[in-house]
Amino acid sequence: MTKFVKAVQAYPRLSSFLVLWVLLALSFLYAPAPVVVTEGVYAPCKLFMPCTLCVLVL
Amino acid sequence: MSLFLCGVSAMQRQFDDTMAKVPVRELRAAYIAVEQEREYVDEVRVWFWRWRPQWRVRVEERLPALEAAEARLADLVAQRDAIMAEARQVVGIWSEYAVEEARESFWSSVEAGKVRVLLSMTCSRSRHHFPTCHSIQGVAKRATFYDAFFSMFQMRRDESIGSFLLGLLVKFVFNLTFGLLLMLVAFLVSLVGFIYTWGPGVLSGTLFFLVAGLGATAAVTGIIALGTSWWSLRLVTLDTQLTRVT
Repeated sequence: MTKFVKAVQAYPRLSSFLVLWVLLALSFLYAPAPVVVTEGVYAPCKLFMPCTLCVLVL
Repeated sequence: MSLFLCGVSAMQRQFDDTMAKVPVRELRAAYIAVEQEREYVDEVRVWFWRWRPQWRVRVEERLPALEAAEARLADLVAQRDAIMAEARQVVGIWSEYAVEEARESFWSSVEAGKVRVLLSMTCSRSRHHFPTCHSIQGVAKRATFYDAFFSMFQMRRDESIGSFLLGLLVKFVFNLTFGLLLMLVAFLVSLVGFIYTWGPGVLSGTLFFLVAGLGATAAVTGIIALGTSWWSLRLVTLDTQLTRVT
């Protein structure tokens, strides 16, 4: 655990990039679509996938 | 919020209504008719039927019915594709239908190993004729088999069977990685056609390609990273066990 924290502290940009990369992969696979057509579906994070991409690009 | 929900509900109703226009029964009947007519023609397609007048006459008698059935099927398929394109444009490419279809396409390319290369370029004409389908594991296994076959001739006399098997395992992991990357490229190519069938604008289509393409790349690199670390652990364990035995 200490090694992991040290690695994150030593490479903050790389770590944040990796976290966002994993988030992007997960959101591509599991996040709800931006436009939910089916009735009764609650999608609180429906813009998750595009937002992750924007953060990654920025 | 209620206005948005009303809009969404109307959108879904319009989508369902449009999809309900697909002539499913007629399509099924047309498929069966084509199969029956083809079997009927195949009955008289004996060896060298072109050069045997009695058989050639029989084939020529039965061919028009087959051609008519095929034409009817092609018409119905075109009709279905037009209806589906209309329905897709109602909900748009950012809808859950499109996203789900893109994910299914991705999973089918990764899990079942089937990638529909240039999907939309063919699906507008015939959805049931998918071009080349490759299997990731198939690619990896085949490549590893050839590696194993040729490495038998290159095996040194002093090389142990353990190191030979380890080398083979490393090659398999390498081939699997290569296969996954190959499938990713094929998925990205098919994505262009997929977006085209949903008919979005240039900006929306480009954004969807970026999002889905980068998402798929992230997922594949994640799978490769996880797979490689798992196999590396297995290799280290196997190596330790083999060293103990020898």
